[in-house]
Amino acid sequence: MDKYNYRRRKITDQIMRNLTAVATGCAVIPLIAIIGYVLTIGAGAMSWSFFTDVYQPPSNAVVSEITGEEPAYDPNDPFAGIADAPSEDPNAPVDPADNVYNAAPRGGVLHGILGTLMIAGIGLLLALPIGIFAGIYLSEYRDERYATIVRFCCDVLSGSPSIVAGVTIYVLVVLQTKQFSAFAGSIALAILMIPIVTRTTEEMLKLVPETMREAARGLGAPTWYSTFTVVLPAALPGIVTGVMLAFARGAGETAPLILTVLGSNIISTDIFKPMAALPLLTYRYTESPYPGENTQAWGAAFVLMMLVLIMNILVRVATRRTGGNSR
Amino acid sequence: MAQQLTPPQWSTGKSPMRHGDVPFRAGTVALASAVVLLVFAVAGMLYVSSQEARTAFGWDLLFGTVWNPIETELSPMSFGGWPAVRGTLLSALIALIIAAPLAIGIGIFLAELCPLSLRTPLSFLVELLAAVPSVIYGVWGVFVFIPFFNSAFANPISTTIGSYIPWFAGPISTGRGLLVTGVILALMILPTIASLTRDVLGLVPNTQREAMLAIGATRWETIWLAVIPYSRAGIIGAIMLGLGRALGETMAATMLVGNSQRISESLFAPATTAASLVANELTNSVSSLHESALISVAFALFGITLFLNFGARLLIWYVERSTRGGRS
Amino acid sequence: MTATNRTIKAMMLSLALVSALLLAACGSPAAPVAEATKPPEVAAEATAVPEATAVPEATAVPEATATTEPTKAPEATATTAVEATATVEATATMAATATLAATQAATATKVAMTAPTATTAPAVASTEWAPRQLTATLSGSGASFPNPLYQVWISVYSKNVVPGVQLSYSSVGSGQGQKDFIAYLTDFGGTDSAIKSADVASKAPDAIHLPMVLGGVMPMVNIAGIKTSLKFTPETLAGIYLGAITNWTDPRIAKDNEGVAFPDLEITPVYRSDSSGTTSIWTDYLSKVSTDWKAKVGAGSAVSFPAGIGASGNAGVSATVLNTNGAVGYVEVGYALAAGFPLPFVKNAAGNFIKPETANVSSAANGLNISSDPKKLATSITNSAAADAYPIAAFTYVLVRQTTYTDVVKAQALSDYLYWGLTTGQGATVRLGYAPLPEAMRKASMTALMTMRVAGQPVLEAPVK
Repeated sequence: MDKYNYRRRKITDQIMRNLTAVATGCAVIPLIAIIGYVLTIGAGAMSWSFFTDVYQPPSNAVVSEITGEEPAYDPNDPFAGIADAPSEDPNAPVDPADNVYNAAPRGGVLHGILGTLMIAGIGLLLALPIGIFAGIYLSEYRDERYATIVRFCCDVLSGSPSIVAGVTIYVLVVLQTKQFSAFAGSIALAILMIPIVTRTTEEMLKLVPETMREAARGLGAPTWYSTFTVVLPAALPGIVTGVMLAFARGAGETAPLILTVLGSNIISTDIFKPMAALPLLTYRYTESPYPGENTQAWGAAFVLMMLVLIMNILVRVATRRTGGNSR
Repeated sequence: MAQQLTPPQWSTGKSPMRHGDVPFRAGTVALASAVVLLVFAVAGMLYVSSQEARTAFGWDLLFGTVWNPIETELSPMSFGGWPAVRGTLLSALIALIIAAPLAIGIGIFLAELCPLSLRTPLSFLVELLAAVPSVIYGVWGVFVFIPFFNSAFANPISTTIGSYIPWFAGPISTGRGLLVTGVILALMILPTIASLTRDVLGLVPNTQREAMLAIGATRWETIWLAVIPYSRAGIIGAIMLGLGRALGETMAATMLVGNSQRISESLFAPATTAASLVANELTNSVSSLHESALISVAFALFGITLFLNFGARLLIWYVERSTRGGRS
Repeated sequence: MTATNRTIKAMMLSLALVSALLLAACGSPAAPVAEATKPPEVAAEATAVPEATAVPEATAVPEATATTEPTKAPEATATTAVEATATVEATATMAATATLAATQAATATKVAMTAPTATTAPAVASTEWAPRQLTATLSGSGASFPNPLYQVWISVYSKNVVPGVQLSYSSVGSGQGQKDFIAYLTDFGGTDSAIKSADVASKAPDAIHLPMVLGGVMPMVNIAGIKTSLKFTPETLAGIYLGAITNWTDPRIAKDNEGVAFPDLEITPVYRSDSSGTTSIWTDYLSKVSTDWKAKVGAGSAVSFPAGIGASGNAGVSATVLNTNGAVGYVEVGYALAAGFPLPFVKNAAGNFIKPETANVSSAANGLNISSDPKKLATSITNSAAADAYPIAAFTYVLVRQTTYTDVVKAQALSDYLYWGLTTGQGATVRLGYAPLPEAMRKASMTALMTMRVAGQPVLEAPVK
């Protein structure tokens, strides 16, 4: 019986074990490739003005060699600061490198950074009360039949494509209020954040040892009091983790924003008006035919990536410490 | 010591704090109901807004082959979503074929074979892969992966195998197409399946492994013959969740698929997916029927993912219950 | 435990910081809004030209046109005068502009529209028209083709001309530009193609298409070893895209390009796989010049191409052409120049081979029969009859509402901006590779802009020059 040949079994064992390691490598390599590309190419697009300036149209006007400034505004020649006048001779050879659209990118994504923080931040503020209280309900009244329904609905929300949230808000909010707005985007992101907050809150509350609740009950504390003073504080680190992950997820979402916030090239502080957002800028700049804007796409992706990475690493550090505690 | 202890305020039955429980429960139920309401709002909106197109076209919305939102003298208005449905199914299938074996391998490695010192950082890296926003996958795909894929795979394959198998036929235009989309989607669902698989394998009681090892099985045989069969349902559930994510993924697909309503046999040719169709056209729908047809597509997407989630949760729940039973 | 607490505190702090930032940001818009209402009220009153003065003056129109003849005030265009004398719709503005023209003809000075008040006739001032310093936020969306130009306009206008105006234009494509405008989601729209006439009647009865600038679409070619400008005829272009001409050695191509040694190479036509204004211009042209094309394919922003391969976006078409030996694709001229492609010659309706240089693209709109109805300025100008016209050209439009703006300030700020774009702004066109509007069309566009009304009052009165 060849099948039970010891050497063959040994070899199969070795091969398969190595294969799983290779599979892990296959997942880690693209991750490193993606992060590496975004960080290296994106860093190339970085400059101080990338973080402090908003969108600037293309320009190949000669900047002053002394001050490094663009030509001053001249009311008689208002576009001198944008592009050189074309050659008088139509037959003069045209070098594409001189073309205004091939000029180095100018401006930055400050409007996108502020917009993303604002849209995702407001989304989080909308999602927090619902998420946390739904989580408390699911954990503290976990055996009720209604809890099963809530839990299922939560799963449906977290599993449904982000575009569906976008479509819903587009139809129910944007078309009804006749206005693309940052707030509509926030609501759409809140729909995506709620299940994350709810599920982490629930899981974290469930991790709080039953003995703590019993101790509180033994002292005669009613459920609400023990929940707020004993159970929630014990689970707080985990909940904060979930909240940060929800924020990171919301900040990176693009599809719902396409349908709700429209985008903008200026810093807008009115949440009931269209607003810029980093993922939106990344998308639009990627699809742009002009190389300068493609570079900006990498830059915007870089900032977005840093935001998400920092959030996740913070979460990791936090959970590792609390993980040690709760054991 | 006959010291009279003042009882805590709440323990006296008359304290208002005791009554706090009723509003507390009502409050949590109310906010939890918001989640339920949200699902009903989404489903209800999708149902109502898609009514117009559904009554006009019926199942043609999913299986008709011509999507022509603009009426011209030559072609009447028609909303056949098959190019999009086909694109969605094919790209998700490609993603699954690539990702499922890899992800299960990763799950096994992380749960069973990985040295302990590597387990935490590797798990973190894999989960990080899930946290990367999809638009970044899109940027990377457009500027890095597609040029690489074209020169390394698409061009050589289309000129050799492509002449015999229409699936791989050239010519390669920009390289945007279903195969590229599928590969990037595979990367995106990999961490979802891998981390769930790892969790499910972690639920397998050690007695199972020990029994297998005790009768002289190798590590792999232990995994293959005892651990995996024990958690089969859970792994299938994980794959279904991954499939759900691949079907609904919007941005990466929009940026990589080429957005063409034409059905082409070749996987290298531009195509479209349901999610990217909605993302591209909803904001510039030319008529209420067009809008309604797009919402119907979104409705179908919602229905499919709802169904998949339901099935996956059921399977995972089944595993969890049976493992609990095994322990007792 | 302390370490944990510290981390939590740090996280809470950062969260608080973010929310504080948000609150601060949300709180601030109140100020500009409050300011916004101030200056416009004055302006609104100022621009209220009474019908009483305007109507009697209208009778002077024929004289005005009579005296306007050669050089002094060509502003009084024939169309305006005809409209006014016909008096079918002798609206207040028509009369007002006619009045203006009359005054101008008489005095040959420029009239500033800031002066007229409710009681006096338009005063004659020597200052030039200048945009009002209003405070408003305007948002628009639409065509991607004119986007660089609009962004340059916006940048200069809101930085140096009227700092109080916050303008934002999102380049999302003509389709969405039209839809957002029709659904009242934006203040103005940008589009390369006119809204379908059926939709105008039912959904946007007061939409005005203002031509802003012209653009050309050109074939770009990649044949290894050939860097010269090739010559195309309508027949060869239609033949290539219909799949009837499949090799570069085809005699029909060789006939027009004597001296060019074409290799024996298959032609790969490249088309836009996504819906696009460029495709609609290209197919509109092919439908006009080829009955075959019209019968088999037709025109539209996304048609079913009988031959070739698809690629998405201008960048996609250009990349595909660059990567495929023997490929031909169609893109907007400015983009082809940036990508380094030579300009080809295309035979126009008059039989001349013309390069898509800005002057030739502008010529495509010459000799156009401009409608006197401000709502009907949108026309197809492909295959123009003008002798020096490049045949594959089109207007790109800004969509504004004639009567349904409710916010006077917004309407005034928008009309000022567009007026500025049609006058000063045209100076940026050639620098950025766009073709400026020909004079007649530019004036028609300005006249149409001035028919904008809020609550029956005109929002902009300025010289048509």
